[in-house]
Amino acid sequence: MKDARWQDELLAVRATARHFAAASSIIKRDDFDDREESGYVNLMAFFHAMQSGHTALEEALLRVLQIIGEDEPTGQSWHAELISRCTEEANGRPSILSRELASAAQQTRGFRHRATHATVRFDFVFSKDRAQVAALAGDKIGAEFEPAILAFADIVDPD
Amino acid sequence: MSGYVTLRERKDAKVAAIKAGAAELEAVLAAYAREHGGRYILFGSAARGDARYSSDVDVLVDFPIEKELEAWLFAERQCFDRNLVPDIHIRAWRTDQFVSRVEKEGRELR
Repeated sequence: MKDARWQDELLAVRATARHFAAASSIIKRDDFDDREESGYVNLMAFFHAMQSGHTALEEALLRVLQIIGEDEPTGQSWHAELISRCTEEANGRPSILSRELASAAQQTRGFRHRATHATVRFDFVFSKDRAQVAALAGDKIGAEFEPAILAFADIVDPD
Repeated sequence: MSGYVTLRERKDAKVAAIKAGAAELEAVLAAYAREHGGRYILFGSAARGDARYSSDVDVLVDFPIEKELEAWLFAERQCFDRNLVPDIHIRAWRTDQFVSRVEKEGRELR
């Protein structure tokens, strides 16, 4: 029987997919002019869904490291390091993320970073093209993250 | 003379490290920009040469959309490797007014 902590892991994985699916739906709307309330609501909903999606992804990756007893990355670069570490085969375990999935995760990390700073200053230009690129990365994560985690769990915890 | 390192000495050493790191950063970012067809702009205190011990390094990334992520990741990694705190801005996210100011006060790297 697998370690019970994989159940909590799957909650974080599915939260990741849920947030990114919402972001993917919201970005199809037309109005992102934040000078009006409707545009503001759409913009903030999209930002929040993308930010929450990436935060849930990080939570899921950190839980995996905790389950296998691997130290979490620390220091100012830990957000970037978490993704790159999980892309490597290391410490007696296989990689957790494929290169393509890791690239999508770096894309959503970058978007979260910019969205976070944008909303505290509100002196930004919203680029729908770039938002769509980030949303597509979220779609990829939504589709491929759970199978990747399940495959990883089957290898390191096959019982 | 206690033989201990004073706070002033620690701060001075940190400023020297930031300045040295920023000088290295300029060279590697310029080389990357030339190779990949974009530009970086170093601005703020690191560009002016008056960084304080707590200063971050301000960089504007101006690359075509398909190269933007890698250019951002590259700049971020180069800062981390030099123990610099990056504050990296993407051109397309910033207002023309902001970019105009950065272009005036900063150093274009490419």
